[in-house]
Amino acid sequence: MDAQQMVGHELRVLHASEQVLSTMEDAETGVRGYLLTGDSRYLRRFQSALSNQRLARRNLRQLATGSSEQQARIAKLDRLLEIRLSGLSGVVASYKTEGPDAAVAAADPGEGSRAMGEIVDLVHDAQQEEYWLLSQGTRTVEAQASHMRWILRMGGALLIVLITVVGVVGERDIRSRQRVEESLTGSEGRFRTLADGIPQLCWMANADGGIFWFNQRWYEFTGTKAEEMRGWGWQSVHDPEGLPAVLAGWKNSIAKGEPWEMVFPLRAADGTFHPFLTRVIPVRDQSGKLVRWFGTSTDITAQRRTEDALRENQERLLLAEQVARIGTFEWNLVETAANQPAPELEAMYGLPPGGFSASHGTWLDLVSPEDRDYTKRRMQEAMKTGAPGAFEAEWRVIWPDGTTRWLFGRASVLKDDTGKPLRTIGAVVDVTDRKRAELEVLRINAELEQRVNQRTIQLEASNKELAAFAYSVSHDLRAPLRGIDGWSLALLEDYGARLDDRARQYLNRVRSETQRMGNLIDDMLQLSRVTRDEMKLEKVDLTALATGITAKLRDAGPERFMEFVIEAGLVAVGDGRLLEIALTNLFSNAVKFTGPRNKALIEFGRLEKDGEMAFYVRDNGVGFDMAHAGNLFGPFQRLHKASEFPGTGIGLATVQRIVRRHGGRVWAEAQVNRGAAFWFTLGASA
Amino acid sequence: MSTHRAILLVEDNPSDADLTRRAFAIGRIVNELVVVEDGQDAMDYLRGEGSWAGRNVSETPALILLDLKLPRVPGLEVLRMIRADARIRRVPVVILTSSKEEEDVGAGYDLGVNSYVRKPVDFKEFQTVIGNLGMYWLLLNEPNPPVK
Repeated sequence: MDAQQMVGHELRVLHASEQVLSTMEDAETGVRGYLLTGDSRYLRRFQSALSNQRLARRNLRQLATGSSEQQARIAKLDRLLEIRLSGLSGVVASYKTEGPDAAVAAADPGEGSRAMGEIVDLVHDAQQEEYWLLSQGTRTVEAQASHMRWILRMGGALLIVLITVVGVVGERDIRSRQRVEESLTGSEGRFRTLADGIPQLCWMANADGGIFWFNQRWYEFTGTKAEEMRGWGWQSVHDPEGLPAVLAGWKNSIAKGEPWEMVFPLRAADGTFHPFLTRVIPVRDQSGKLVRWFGTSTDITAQRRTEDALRENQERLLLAEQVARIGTFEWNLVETAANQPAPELEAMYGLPPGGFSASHGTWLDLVSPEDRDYTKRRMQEAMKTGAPGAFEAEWRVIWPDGTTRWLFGRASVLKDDTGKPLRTIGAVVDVTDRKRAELEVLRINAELEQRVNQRTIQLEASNKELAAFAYSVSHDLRAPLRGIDGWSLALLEDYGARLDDRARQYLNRVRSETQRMGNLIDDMLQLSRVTRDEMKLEKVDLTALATGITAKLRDAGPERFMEFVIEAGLVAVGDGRLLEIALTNLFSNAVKFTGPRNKALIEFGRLEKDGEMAFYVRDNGVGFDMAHAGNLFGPFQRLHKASEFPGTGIGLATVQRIVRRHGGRVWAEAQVNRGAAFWFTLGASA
Repeated sequence: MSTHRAILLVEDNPSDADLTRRAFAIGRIVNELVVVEDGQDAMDYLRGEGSWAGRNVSETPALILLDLKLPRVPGLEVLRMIRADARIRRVPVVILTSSKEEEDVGAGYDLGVNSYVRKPVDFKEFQTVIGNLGMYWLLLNEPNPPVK
């Protein structure tokens, strides 16, 4: 049975003995209650206690295989229990047959408590022994566990234990000196075999320090031979500089007969030095006389490297904290002990090094009062969830000098298995500058918004002025034109007979120029209106719109042979009134510039162009030279002679403004005498 | 035809007023054309006040042609006052103006105008419009009974 099994076994024995005792007490209580009340529930309790106890006793008998003393104790306990239980059964029986008084008389309370006392004492004695065994077993288990760890890191310690066992423990049960020797020899043989197999360097020395044995590993590591190493030859694998200290330590240990431990380098076969942790313990015989030394040397290169890396990491972390100005903290939530905060954290609270005496309980006092509730609430929430980084908050602190700083902190709450928070680990950064910048941005934004509002108001005002101006133009400029036209006509009508042809022709010129002027004014007004009128976005059926426009155009030119091809199902989101103006202009242009054709073919459709959907109005008219198309969409720009194709040159400018107001663009493709196509998109709204 | 009821033209531009008169003449509309030059004058005529004091206000015009841009009292205000005055509110009013601002058109109808006509630049067209107006309001339309 190994130590671990043994511990388990002892625990089971202890448990069984407790069971025996508690079922016995149960039986006693059951009978007592039954006698006093006659209630059958107590009887049932007695009976179930009886059967439970039988099980417990069997369990105990089987488990308790310890010393003979213990066996005897348990047998005695068994008997006592049997007697007591049959006594109790007798009492119950007499209650049933002869009534309560007889039963009470039969139940001798003095006898009961005496028997129970004896049983309890016996159980406790038995438990004592098991406890002792348990403690032994536990100690061994603990030792083994720690040895396991030790092997992993510095297995030499196990060997020390082994040699101790070999040298000291082995003697306990053996009397003869001879047999001691034999046993030692046997043990040593086994030990040396074992020692050759482990990664540590092991050696043994006489009481005077002369080493008489190294394990195989020593020779492998140092690349030496037994002859070179014998006695004090080992010095050759030492660093000459460190050797005096090693010798001094070792000799001191020899002189005092005390264990010794030191870290020094040893030279490997390849000439490199490795750090070794060397431990030496004295081995004494029965009389306490020091008979030899046992030593192990463990290569701690890896450990050193780990330690170095750890230290380096710590330094790096510290440096990072300093550079990044991160303050880390760790609150112990179980005890309200003050922690050891990073100096950076203290600086964040405006405190001198060592001035941060807050614990998790008092830390909130350092937080600015206005943020205290909020921060506390966040921390409480974090305690509940316990997720990594569960706590996240920004709070203000007021430094002793009155300065207000903004801190941002994040922390994780670590809990035990039952969910109880144990520790909070977190980091804090000073975000005052960022916070100020944020506030500044907010302020600037507010200011900007105010400025935009002012501008908007100004713009609205100038829009109103423009509207008033347009109204004025519309009303005031047209009135005199009407006069010029009207009186010219009056002249023609009333005095036409007295005028010669040339005079009449002149008057007709006056009238036609007046018409042109009127058209110009109308177009200008429309252009200004499409620019300033508020847009009402809606779903617009462009197919229906185009059909309506072309029908009107057909009515206006019944003498023309025109074919309109309009794609079905063209829908866009836009301002219907503006889109009607744009399409009217495009279709009117198409009709105008197909004038010389016998048959005009005008198409309206939609195609994907450069990744976006574009609408087009295409005609088979006279087209134009793309070289002159640059200013096509500017107001008053014309590519044809007014005598050929009359117009004000404002139509396409109007189209462009409308398209732009929809977030789209417009462009033309044309060739002289081979028609023209006007493309437009309606931006995101299409 | 309520033959001899006058037509009231509210127009501050004498050239336009004369052209309108000419158009009526060409259109053979023989009703007397009373021209007033501003809104105040128009209201005085209708109410028999001011320079029109003593006029028999029960002789309401057969038709009022109202320009919008007028000195003193603007056209829409004149319209509002006409519609608010029980004695004259049934007189048909036609806004005859250069403006086709939507706002004006809407406001005109809101105030109960009977027609809204934009004066074209082309006098021939203007003449046609005037002719049609006379034909409709003076001949075809059943005249309103005078308010008692």
